[in-house]
Amino acid sequence: MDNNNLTILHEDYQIKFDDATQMVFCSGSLMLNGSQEYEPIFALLKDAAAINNETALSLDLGQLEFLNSSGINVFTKFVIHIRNLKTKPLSVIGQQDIAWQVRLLKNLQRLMPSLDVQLQ
Amino acid sequence: MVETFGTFIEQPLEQMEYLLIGFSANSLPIQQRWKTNRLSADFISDYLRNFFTGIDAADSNQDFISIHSDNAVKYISNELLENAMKFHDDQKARQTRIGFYISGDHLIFLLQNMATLETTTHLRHFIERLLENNPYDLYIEQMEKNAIDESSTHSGLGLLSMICDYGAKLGWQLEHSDVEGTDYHISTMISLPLAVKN
Repeated sequence: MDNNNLTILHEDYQIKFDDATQMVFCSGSLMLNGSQEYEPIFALLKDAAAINNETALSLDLGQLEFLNSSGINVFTKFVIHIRNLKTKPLSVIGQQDIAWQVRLLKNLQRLMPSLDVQLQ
Repeated sequence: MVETFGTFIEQPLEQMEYLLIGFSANSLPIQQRWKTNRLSADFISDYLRNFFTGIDAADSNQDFISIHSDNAVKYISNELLENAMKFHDDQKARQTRIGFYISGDHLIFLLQNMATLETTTHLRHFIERLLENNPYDLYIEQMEKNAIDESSTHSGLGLLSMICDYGAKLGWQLEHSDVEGTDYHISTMISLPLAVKN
């Protein structure tokens, strides 16, 4: 798999996978219309998770400014995907002082109790 | 016939401070109109924020995101705008209206749109499930369902997130809009406490 392709740069949002740190960074505003428009982001997340099967992956949402409910759906689907793999450790990073991020991470942990939640 | 469900405040809203946005859902292609959501949601959020100044946050309860927090008004406004576009009956000329009202201690969002019988039946089922179950259980259940059902285009999480994450109260009025009863005028109300009640 070509790791260099695991980047989506858009004027409103950026999703980047860093192979060295096994970290996916998300930034900007995600306000896309439904699952279809979110599919490239979901595919990137799944591809990043597949690169080193059992190596821990981190998902940094701390720089995400806005997320609509279809965007919430992408991250809940991804966490359920990882949970179902059973072998892949996952950390999700958010900011302690951003209320919706705290809430989102709490909901994600409800879906995957072993999820490592890091509020910074 | 008008049917009312959930928490629906029937006092005349026009006596409150309000902001109304109207649009004809079929005047622009949805892809083009979607881009206006960000502008509209930002404007509504900035506009309403002025009315919050000096009001103590009602939400000392850590269970919910406070409506005073960054992006809370924007999130709910944007979800309503998205729903208005997704579920409006394009064959109808009647405008979709979204109103934002400040009642003193409550912030009220009211979406009024036309919908087909099919959309209304779907909404009716959603309301029945919501009134009979724990919303948070439904929220998690919907997330699990979406993870299995690859074909679903709408997440079904928007209204549930308003209840479960923001502590919003939801209500609906469904009204037949023509003699055949095949089209409906739907009012969706979302209310949130603004101030601490002593």
